[in-house]
Amino acid sequence: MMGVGEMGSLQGDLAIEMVHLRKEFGRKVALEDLSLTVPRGEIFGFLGPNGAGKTTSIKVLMGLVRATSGEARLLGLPPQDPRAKERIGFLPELFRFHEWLTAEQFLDFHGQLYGMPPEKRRRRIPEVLELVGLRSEGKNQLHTFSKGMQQRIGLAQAILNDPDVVLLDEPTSALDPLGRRDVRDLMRYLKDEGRTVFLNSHLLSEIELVCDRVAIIDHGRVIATGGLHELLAASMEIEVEAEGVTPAAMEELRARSQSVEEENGRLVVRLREREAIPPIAEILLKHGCKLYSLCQRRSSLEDLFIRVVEQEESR
Amino acid sequence: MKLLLMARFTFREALHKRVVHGVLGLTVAFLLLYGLLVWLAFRQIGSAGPAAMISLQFTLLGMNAVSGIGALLAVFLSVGTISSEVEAGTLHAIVPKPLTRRDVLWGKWLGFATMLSIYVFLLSLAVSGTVAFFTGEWSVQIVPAALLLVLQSLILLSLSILGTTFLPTVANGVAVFGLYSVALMSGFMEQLGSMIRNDAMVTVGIAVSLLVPSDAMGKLSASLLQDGRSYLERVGPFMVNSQPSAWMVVYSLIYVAVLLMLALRIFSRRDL
Repeated sequence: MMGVGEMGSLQGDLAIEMVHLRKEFGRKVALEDLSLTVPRGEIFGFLGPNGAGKTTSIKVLMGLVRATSGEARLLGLPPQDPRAKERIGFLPELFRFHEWLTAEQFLDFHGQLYGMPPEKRRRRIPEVLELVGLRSEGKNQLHTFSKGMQQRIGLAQAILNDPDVVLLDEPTSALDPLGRRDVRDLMRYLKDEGRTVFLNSHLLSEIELVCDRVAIIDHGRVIATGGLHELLAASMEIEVEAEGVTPAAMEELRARSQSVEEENGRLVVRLREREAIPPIAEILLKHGCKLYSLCQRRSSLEDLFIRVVEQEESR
Repeated sequence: MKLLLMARFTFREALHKRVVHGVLGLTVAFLLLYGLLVWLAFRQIGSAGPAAMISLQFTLLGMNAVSGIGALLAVFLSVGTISSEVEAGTLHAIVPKPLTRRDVLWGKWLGFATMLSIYVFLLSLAVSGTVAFFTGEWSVQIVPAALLLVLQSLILLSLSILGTTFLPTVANGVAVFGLYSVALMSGFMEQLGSMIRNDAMVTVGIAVSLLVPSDAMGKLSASLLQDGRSYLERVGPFMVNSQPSAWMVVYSLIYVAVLLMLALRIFSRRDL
């Protein structure tokens, strides 16, 4: 029987923890001070501009890179702990697998690396090939695979051991739109099965479609994190089409909002919350402006991303 | 055990490498040429006169070639096994699995070592067998002599494995061949020094052979084959005047172990 402490650590609520991670490569600081927690059972999006430290963080989590200071934990255990490694699946970003193997031999080797017994491998390999859409390719050698198929077999390898946490570093970079949809479906399936998916992707639209929560990092630190919907709702823009806006009206608008800008003859008013929208109409009417339309712009993850990264850069 | 899994996998992988196919081709060519030479020599002299001398010289020539091909194979098999797999990202899918870096590194070494040992040992037997085919006599000491050549190739393999944990592939190849050549030179220096009775040369030669004991194993192997033969039979390009101490075998085994510990230390701390 497992000790209470052990049960607690393996079944904690957090899939991933990074606490004040710092990594220096010589003089270059790749991670400044990165702290992040990922609860279990979610699809978590990890974004940031190139060179922000995304891949380095993932490598620290996977025990490929040693942090200069700070701590990383997977399922409450240090990344080098074999009990953690057994419960993790990982698709590296730049990978080339042993191309002389067939898809089945490749998965069999990785199944052995996970320590899966033979009968479990025999049962599981056709299952994962099916899940990634390579059912009929099992007997083919990997060097005959297209880039998209290589990415699929990489995914198969990452979910082979039925892991609790799956880390995917750019899993759809080589896939066409259909392949991307398959991967989205796969991530949702994993989530429905109670797994945690940690997704690093440049494709913001992908993240927006599947992620429950996101973290945006830049210069090796987290600059925004939270539920996707809250983050998107945290700052909203409304577009106002009005005539006869007096300087006094403008002044009052500015006072009641985060910013007001003119764009193609329309006013774009940025607000913190939904409740701030009706007062905008009141101000305009009070000052005798003719109000033709007032509509809320749907903020996309891309807007949010650009905004927080630019804010960070200008700091 | 994951170390043995990596070793088996490394062995299977090596069978798919072009360098192995190349070396096998080279081996066939070498054995054909070698057989032709031995045949030509014995056709002329028959079993008369200097047959014992000729057979010894041919065995030494053959074993010298085995030693060279073994060195070539040891280095080319392993020269980029860590560095190139870090670059290609192959290791990024393996290291996060539930196994240690020791399993990865020593498993690879064991896989290559198994292949090299089989190859060098069988090729040594083939050389001795070719001579025996014409003379009817096997070299008495061929098995220990072959094992010493196996140890020689393992020394070079271990150097190359150590190098690949921190050097890029090409740099490692240059470094290991550099050390191999230095060992050859120092061996030559030791023999020449002993012949002209120059103690300083012998001392320097021995000192360098402690740094890279590969050539000492080659010399020890050759001197075993010459054991008990008369001066006239032994004299030739492969004659060993200054026989390395048998303790060099123990030293070499410790040397390999130390290289493997050092390689593991570097690889364990390396960011991949």
